[in-house]
Parts: sequence; structure tokens; C-alpha cells
Amino acid sequence: MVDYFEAEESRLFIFDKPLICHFCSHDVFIPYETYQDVEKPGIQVIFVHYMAIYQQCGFVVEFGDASRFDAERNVYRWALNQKLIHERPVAEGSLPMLTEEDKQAQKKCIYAALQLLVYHKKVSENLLTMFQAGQLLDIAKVFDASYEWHYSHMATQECLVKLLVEIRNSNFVHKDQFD
Amino acid sequence: MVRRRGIYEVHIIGKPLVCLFCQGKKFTHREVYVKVVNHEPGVQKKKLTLQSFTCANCGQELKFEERKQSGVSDIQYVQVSD
Repeated sequence: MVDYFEAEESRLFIFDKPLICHFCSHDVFIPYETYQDVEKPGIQVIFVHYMAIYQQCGFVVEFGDASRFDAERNVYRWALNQKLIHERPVAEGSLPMLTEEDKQAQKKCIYAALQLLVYHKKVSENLLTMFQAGQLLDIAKVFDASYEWHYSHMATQECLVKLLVEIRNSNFVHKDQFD
Repeated sequence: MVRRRGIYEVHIIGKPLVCLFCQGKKFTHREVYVKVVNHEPGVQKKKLTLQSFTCANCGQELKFEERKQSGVSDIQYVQVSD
């Protein structure tokens, strides 16, 4: 389910029903979010809806977003779904990069997080020696045996995320400490 | 063409255009521009250029984007009256 449609070649679904061209029966098109002025009174009030253009014949279909809160079942029902025809390639320049400073700061955080987990006896003290030896992947694998790096140059960040998730799940704070 | 006077029968990609409401085949034509919502500030406002066909019988409006294949439009107009 999507919040809004992107103006890319795609197949669209409204409440899981595919949109099909009334004229040529094809189903690939580009949705545009368009607006019109509404009747007076109303200052700068516009009516936003979608105009989807079928890529075969050029037919334009207009529709709105029918997402709404279903009070009977107490859930929000999302109406729109979009499947892009062309997966957008990840541009080389947009790969996340970490500076050396970031990595040093993240290592400090990893060490602090490990100390916290060891103090609460969630993990063994061996992890501290593993950290000193720079075995970040092995530390991540303690929490997720099959873990592999998504980006190896981001190892410090991914390891830190693993530890923070573990800390969150451990929930060190005891209930009576709130009183 | 921005405006055609008169009433036309229209073929799009070789198929006759039929009103979805009353099955009429005669339409008046107008080129229309539709404003697209701008999500990124500073980007020039985009407009869609569409061919609007209004059924001469019931007034139902159908819109198409004109496409060209090797210089020939896929929308063909045949004038049937003034």
C-alpha cells in the first residue's frame, strides 16, 4: 500500500483491484496528481485527484484516493497500491558513505552498548574481546546467526544497529523504577 | 491543434471512440491543460496537455493524451457536421 502515487510507468491497484483501460484494455500507465479549482466561496481551495494516462492509447482516467478509516473493524483501509514497471537502479553516488569520524564515533557507541549488555548479563564478556579484535561481523552474528553485511563499508553502523535493537528488546527498565 | 470547430467522429489507435455513458459516437473537441500538483518546491510547474472530447449527445467528457508514431498522430478526426 502506498500513501500517494509516483509519476512513473506502473500498474495501479485500488483496493487490490487492478486499473484497466476502458478503451484499450491495457494496464500500464503514468499517474499524475492534478488539481482543479473548486466552486466559490473558498479562497485558494483546490480539489486534488489523480489523472492516470494509459501508455498504449493515451486514455485518461480520473480518480481520487478512497483510503478511509473503517470504524466497524477499527482499521485504516489504504486504497492505493502501485507497482513500478522499471525498478529504479541505485545510483553509484547515492550509496551511503561514512566518514572516518563517523566510524570512530560509532565504534565508541558499540563499545558502550556492549558494556551495557554485559553489565545486564545479556551477553558474555567475550564480546568485549571480540570487539577489541575488530570482529564486528561475529558480534552481529551473536544476535542473528545468518547475518551478512548489507554494505561492508558500513560495518560499524550495521553492528551498532544490531546492538541497539538488542538493547531495546531487552527492556532493562523495571516497572517499579517508574514509581 | 488547439481547437476544432464542429462535430467529429474520432478514432484512437484505429478504434472508434464511443461515449462510455450513452454510446454516442459524435464529439466536440477542445485541447485542455491540466495542472499537476507540485511536490518539490522550486521545480517548474508541470502541465498535462490533453485532448478533451465531449459527447455531443450527453455531454460526457473523455480525455486523451495525444501520441505520435513516426510523425503520425494516433488520433484521427472525421468531421461529420459544423
